[in-house]
Amino acid sequence: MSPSDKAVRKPVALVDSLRDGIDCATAARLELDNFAVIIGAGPGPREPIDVAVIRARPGGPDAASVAAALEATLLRTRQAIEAMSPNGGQIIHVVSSIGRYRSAWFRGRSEKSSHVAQAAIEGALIGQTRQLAFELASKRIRVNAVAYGWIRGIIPETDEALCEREKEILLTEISLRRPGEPDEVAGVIAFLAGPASSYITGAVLEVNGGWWMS
Amino acid sequence: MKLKGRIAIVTGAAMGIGRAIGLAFRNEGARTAFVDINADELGRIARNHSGSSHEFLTIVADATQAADVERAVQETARHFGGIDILVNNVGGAVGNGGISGSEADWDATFALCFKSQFLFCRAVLPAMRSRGGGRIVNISSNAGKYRSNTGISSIAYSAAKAAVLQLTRSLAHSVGGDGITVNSIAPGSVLSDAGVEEYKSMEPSLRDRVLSETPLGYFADPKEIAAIAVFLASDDASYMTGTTIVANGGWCTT
Repeated sequence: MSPSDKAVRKPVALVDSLRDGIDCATAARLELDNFAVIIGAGPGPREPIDVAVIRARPGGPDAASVAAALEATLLRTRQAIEAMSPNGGQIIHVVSSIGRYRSAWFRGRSEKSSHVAQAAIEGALIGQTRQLAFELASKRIRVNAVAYGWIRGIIPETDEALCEREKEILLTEISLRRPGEPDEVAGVIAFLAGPASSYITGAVLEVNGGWWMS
Repeated sequence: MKLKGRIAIVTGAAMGIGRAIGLAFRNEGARTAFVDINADELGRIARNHSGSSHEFLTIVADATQAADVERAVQETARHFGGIDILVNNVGGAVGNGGISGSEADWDATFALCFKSQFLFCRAVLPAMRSRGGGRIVNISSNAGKYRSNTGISSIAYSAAKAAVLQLTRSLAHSVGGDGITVNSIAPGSVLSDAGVEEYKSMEPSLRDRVLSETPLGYFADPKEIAAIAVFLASDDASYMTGTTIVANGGWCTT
């Protein structure tokens, strides 16, 4: 690649899907930061990518769907690594509180209401983050994660899923005394996607308004 | 510009990481007070950057003395009309901070690394509250989060830097309702002015070992730490508080 090609080529960011407010805010923000944004993993993008944003997706509670969700998540990361530009890049795994801490509220022991399967799937992404950061550093690929707390309108703990009393109690646990907005998660993803985070790899950034602190 | 119109105060800003943070803040549009005990180096910054359009201020003060800290904060607030951002960067190891070190050396290390941060946090809170919010960024260390990667940082220094992390969490929860966020950065080895000296005096075998244990394979430029401080002070980090961003090239991750 000649220097002039390099100058005109926009960095490419892959956002694995557009299912909720965090995905949409992330895609919009990365475009604002001058990335060419590709949506959806598929069999792999045709051009090399510089950034991949990979979300944990709901799965479970039965064993087959947990396995399928886990496999799909791991596959997305593998495809992203294969598609990564030879100049390196950034992989950003995005999980909810369930992958890093726990769900906002305990809803009984029935399998259907349990978030244990989700914790296992999201926890796998966090485990991958550290090991991939170690293995891919020599290829100039940084791998980091974002763990978000109560974000307005985001599953698995949508605002609607919480009753007023639960919201009040949760707010006393959150230092900023408010839920976050999808834009506020996208801003952290954008930081990890850009050069300002150049010395950070294998890290998990918590965007939770001061809910759990690690 | 990510910090346009903001007013910032940076401690230990005459050299190294602090200077890099102060200059990065200026470049992002913040009116910035550079606070340090080293008048000569502050004077050099003032001379080197006097022609610029970005407003800044240098204040000579001892961050371990409450009266000096109050004066520095009041001067900044009076000069610029308020305070939005505090970066508690000043720190360093004094004397022998090993387990057989003197009480005086341990006290001095804790005063420089930790008490200075308490004093500045206490001093800026009224100004931040009166503006409806603010950002505090405390500089800790990889040595405070995990352990010294080179083994050079003392026990006293590591313990004081660990105290910074807990100040960050507890203060974050206490002032969150006022719209003030408090976060910390835990840098690994950084080629700051002091870091370069340390690097030069290191046994080559130790240097090679630490570099080989660092997945990214190099020691950080102060600008890479400054960029994280800019992020934490910017709108992008508005829902982060009580957190620690570890910037150690992947040396240790949890």
